[in-house]
Amino acid sequence: MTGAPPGAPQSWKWPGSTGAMACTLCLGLLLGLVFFPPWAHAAQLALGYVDWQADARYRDSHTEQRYPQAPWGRPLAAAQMALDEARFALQAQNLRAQMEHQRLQQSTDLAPLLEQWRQQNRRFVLVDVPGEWLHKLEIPAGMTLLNISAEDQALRQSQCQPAVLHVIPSARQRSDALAQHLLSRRWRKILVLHAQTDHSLLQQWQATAQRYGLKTVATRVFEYGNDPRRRELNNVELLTSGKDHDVVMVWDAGGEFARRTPYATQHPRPVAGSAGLTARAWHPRWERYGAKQLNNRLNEALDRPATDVDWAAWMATKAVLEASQRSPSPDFAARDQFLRSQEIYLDGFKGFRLGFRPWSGQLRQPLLLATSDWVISSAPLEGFAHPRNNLDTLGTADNEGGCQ
Amino acid sequence: MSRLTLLSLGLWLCSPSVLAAERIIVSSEGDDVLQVLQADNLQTLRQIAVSERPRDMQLSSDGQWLYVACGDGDSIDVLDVATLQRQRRLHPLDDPEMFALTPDGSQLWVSNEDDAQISLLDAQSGEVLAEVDTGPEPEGIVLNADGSRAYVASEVANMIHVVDTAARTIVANILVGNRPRRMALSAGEKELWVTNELSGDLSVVDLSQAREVQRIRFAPKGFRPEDLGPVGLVLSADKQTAYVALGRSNHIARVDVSSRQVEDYLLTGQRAWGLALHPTQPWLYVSNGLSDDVARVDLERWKLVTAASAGRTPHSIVVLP
Repeated sequence: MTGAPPGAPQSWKWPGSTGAMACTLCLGLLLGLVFFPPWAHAAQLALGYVDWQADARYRDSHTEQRYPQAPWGRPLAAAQMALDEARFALQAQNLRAQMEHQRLQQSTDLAPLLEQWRQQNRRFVLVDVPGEWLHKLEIPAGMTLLNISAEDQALRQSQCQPAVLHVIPSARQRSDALAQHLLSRRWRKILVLHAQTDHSLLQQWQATAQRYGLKTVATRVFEYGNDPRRRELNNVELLTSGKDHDVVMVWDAGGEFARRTPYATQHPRPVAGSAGLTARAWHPRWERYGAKQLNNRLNEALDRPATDVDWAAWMATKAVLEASQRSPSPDFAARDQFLRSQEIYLDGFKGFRLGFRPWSGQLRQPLLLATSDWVISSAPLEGFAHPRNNLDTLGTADNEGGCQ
Repeated sequence: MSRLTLLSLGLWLCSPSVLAAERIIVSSEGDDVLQVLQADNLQTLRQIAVSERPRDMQLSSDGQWLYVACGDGDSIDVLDVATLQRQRRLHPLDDPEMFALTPDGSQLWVSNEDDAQISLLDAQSGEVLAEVDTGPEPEGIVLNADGSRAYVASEVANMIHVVDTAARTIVANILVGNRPRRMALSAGEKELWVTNELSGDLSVVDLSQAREVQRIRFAPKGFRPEDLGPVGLVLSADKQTAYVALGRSNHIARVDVSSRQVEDYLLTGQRAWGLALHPTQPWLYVSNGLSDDVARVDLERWKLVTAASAGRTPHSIVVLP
């Protein structure tokens, strides 16, 4: 080598001219960009959203009635809004999220769809389907479903599946919330009306009444109708007479009977349950804890006031996004573990930190006790305490049978 | 009341020794007024009507103007401090929540709660000079001493945006705890302290590294971590002590800045949010949004000395010069 001092490192010389070297570099760069584009390094999050074309809860004739706890329309736009809201945060963390929506024709289509999504690595799926569809559903391993609309208690207990998380409150959480309000008022004597076929709501109320020491003075069946020959079953005055009571509790999943009960009772008594004072996951006039801002955004996204199922769709999406943002690694197992952990902080705009219960998969959350136009109180009420987490005064305890 | 008494009272009230730092102003979110209270015994002196939902308030650096953000009135009302009369309204604005005045007082940066952005306004005319998109629900906004950087907390994105105010772009996004609300710059502007309402703690952000380096946790007696809701944050004039209002746990905390240790707690009132330090006396004012009152704390004795009603849902407090 000419010019190199002894002992100095040998200098390399690239083969060919400078021009050829430059071309090689450019080609290499181009190929690099084609096969390894910068955005491919972004972590991905693929979500699924599934609902049912013929779902009776979403028929116009039903949604336009605006029953207090029933859906007022499809909640899909609320889930999409949660994705929009997170755009900034996702970008800042180099995370790309995307949701695919499928509207099914029948229940038998659900399992194959989940299998297909699992193949596509679409592992977090929001499900807005009747509770029966989730009973004994074949769920592929390595997926988590988030139930946003089925309140069935069985799904949290005897029919519990570890792969399913429940964002919408259970029937038991609702009745426990009501019981707390009644107890705080010392309205202990309850007259219960229920539909012939509504065993589950009644059962949950009975479990609640026992837990909270409320006295059920009578349990009576009602039916819809105006036939005077069946007035003992359809006349509100008759149904609420005879026994001394403080409150009339009406359990009516359909809503049609319950809503004509307030002020139609024999005695001047408040109505609660499926009408009158109801326990909600969300309320369009809830303003505390930043809820006003959330309601503004939900109203705009849905083009109508937001209720329980809308909030649940939004919350479920947010939960998966939060878990993905804070997870130590982008694989499903890490994200899923963090989602279900007791370390996650979920903000439902209801004043408490939310998280999922390991024994039932249920999102522990405050419930709002409300009339049609205002929230009167929120459960857990002041004074109702639990050794670990006050939110666990609502819903089933870890020793009441579940997924573990 | 006799005329002589009235005259004496009037003269006494007007005397400079009475007026200097002897009154505080509290924005009453629920009543759409500003309450003027006596600084020592918190007696209500008068009320000033402003636009709807007054919350954040800032004094100009020369102490001549008081700016009040009125969210539902879509305006920032500007009051003459000498007369406490409203001189002008910056209107219409998009739901202004909190804001910061530039060092020369000619402009202000406002967080627009519902629109996921902050805007730069001309402080005289209210003209919107620039807008910067942020994460959803921007709230706390703080400028550094020379006005070159604005720090904005996005409550829903759980991050602090660092904005280059000249270029009007975001230069860094820093992930902090859950639901960050308010911020304060440490001595030498090396750190940014941020209260996280939902995770119930305080993030210490190292600004040179643009990342969170520590979480300070609080533990007032009788409250679980999930019951805390730190919001208000102020640093003492020498930047050695931080005071944090712990929201629904109804306490305030005193933190030693250099050791980052929580030294003590004090019970003040329901939902303690707003904080303001008196410029000359060792007094801290706390607004308690859910007991509708304001408390005065003696910092040397670490005692709540007095509390008085301050209109519905008192929000921010400013000590009038």
